[in-house]
Amino acid sequence: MQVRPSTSRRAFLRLSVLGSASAALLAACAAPPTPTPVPPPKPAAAPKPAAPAPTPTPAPAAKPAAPTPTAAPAPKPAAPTPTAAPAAKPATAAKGLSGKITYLHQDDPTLKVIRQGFVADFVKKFPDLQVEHIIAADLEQKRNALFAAGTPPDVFVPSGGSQNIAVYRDIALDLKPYVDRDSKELNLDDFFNKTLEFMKFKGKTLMWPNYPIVMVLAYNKELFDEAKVPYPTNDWTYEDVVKAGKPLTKKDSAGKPLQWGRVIDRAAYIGWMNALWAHGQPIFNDDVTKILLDSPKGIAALQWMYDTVYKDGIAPGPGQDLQGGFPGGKYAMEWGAHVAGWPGFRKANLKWDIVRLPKGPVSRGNRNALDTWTAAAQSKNPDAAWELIKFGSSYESGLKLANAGYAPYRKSVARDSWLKGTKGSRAVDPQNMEDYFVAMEESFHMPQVAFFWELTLKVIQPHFDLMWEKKKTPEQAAKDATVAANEFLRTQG
Amino acid sequence: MLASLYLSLTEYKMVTPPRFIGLGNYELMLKNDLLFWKSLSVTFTYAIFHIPLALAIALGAALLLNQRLGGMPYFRTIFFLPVVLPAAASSILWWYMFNKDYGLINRGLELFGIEGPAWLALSDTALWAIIIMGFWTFGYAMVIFLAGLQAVPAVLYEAAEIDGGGRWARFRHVTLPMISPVLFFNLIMGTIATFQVFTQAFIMTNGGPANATLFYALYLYNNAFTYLKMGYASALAWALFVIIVVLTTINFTVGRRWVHYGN
Repeated sequence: MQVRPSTSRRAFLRLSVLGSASAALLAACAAPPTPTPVPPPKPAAAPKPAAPAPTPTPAPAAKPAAPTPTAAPAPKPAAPTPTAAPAAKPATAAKGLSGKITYLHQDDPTLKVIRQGFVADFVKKFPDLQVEHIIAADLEQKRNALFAAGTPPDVFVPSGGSQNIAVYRDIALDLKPYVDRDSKELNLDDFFNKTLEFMKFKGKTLMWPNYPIVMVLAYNKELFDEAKVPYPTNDWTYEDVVKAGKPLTKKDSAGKPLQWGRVIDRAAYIGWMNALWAHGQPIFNDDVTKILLDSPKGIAALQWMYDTVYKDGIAPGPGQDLQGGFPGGKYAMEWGAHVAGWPGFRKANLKWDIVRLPKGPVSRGNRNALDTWTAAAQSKNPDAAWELIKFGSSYESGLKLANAGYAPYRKSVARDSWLKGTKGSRAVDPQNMEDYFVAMEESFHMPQVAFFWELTLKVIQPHFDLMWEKKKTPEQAAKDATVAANEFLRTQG
Repeated sequence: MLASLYLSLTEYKMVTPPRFIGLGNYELMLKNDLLFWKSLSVTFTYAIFHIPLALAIALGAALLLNQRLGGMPYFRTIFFLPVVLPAAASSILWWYMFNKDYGLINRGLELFGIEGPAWLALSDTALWAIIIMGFWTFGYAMVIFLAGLQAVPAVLYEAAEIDGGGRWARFRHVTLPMISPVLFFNLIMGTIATFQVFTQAFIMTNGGPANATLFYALYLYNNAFTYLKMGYASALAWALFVIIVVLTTINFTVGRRWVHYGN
């Protein structure tokens, strides 16, 4: 009798588990999908460009800074050059993109509505594609959880934006092939140069701009009028700030401060980083193995900040900050004036305006940190992810963001929104919007190192805290911070 | 727990897969991380001052509330209220209370001719501010002490009085031994709670100035969620576990000498 070969249930189970595990292992070892740029879906009807908008009167070109022998880049003071607005008529349904992508963004009442709006328009263009919104109050935690769970969002807003570009080097999709392919459609000349430059990391384009955040000097006109001090101009130097700050600083008979000349950022890197750049001092050496705080220029930068508080007396030291801040009329000048704070200034009915940051010994040192978005390198539908990003960075989407108060990165959008009208006649302050875009084109970006926040918060800031408490001189603080920071850099490898 | 133990042996940034590094995190912690020791120092300093004083305040309040006087339930409720307030809300409230120019603390000191410092802005006073703030949740230990006090048999006090014992003698030889289990419980809970101090430092000072209020739990959080070093944070969590086990063991060992149970 022939014995039929049989497999016991236990053996079968063992084989199945082994087989599944092998398949999973092979899948995990597989190379991540690389973007395969396909020819863009051709619209059935070619888009008709709108009639070119009339060229507005260009803003007066700013005076270029004196040439400098240091690493600080020379500013480009050209006013934004308007370009024709792209097609207003939406293309009819295109073929090729299908499936589903997920889009992670923050639970902000204004941004949420705008993003949901342009996604609704996007899916009309690609009816076979679904976009699932993942809206999170805590964007960073949600993003981390999704990545840790192996279900990264296809498109997401990286927390910290372009400041954290190095953190995303392993997980963000390189958008350069798509940008190169679609450069005409994107109309790259319409972008402010720096917004594109800061999206690059070691030859790759790891992010795409949402809105830029540039440092400017905001000033309270009423406080200046009261003290009979002329308003700041773009020719101001640090000395002019001190000269104006003195009559703008008021104390009561007991010496308690009632009003300060300017805000100073003692608690975070933005303050000292700006000071270092303005003195022509890069933060790191070229290969990011050493920090350069203790150089003569670095020490001079810290000394300048320190003197603003303890010698010139125009900015608060620890425990001397005034409730209400700049919107509350307690500070005549806000150094940095983050654009997110502008609605607060308007709500407080402040009479205010902006100019570019005053000139330091070498440059204005203003930082540009962009809010951005990007696609995940592990996205299963990278082409669709890119199309969403591209659609969202169109003139129409940009205009909606700009009209909601978010700084534009397209020159045409700037022309048709923030720069609409003329100085003195604009519906909302600041009137001097032109300077914002000039500042953008002369801005610096913070160093593209993944551990920058840890280095500054954990290692450097404690030494500067002691400096602000007058327990260390600026030179001591710079030297101690440098030793500690270089040791940290050594452990990072 | 097993997952966190494994993660403590890896370099893990959450957005990329964990990379096994063996005991590298523990080595870094013990040999190269000055802030690990600093955060332990801050936490232990807080514990040394906060625990005995908080227990003394709670016991004092419980003794006062153990009187047969009218209105005691209202006082009990008022003293317990801070315990039920969310820590975040309390922290914001105390942040205003410690304001140099407008805060209640300095306004109170002004009445005595003392110029109060910028409590939360100076490295010498920031930790003290958080220690002081910690006292106001004494209500939790107080109600437990109160329950213990009310369980002490009255006959013991009568016997002590007959033997000529005064108030202090009755407290020392009757009250304290009889409530020693409750005192021991509050000591253990207080010790564990000390190592969980986070919200106050996170909201009021963010660990500064100059790491003066860098509590262990806050340092752990920063490593996990600010610096994205989840592997190292897991190692810190396990170190915290070991520390608490050691302290609790010490407490139990020493407690055998002074804790008296009814049986």
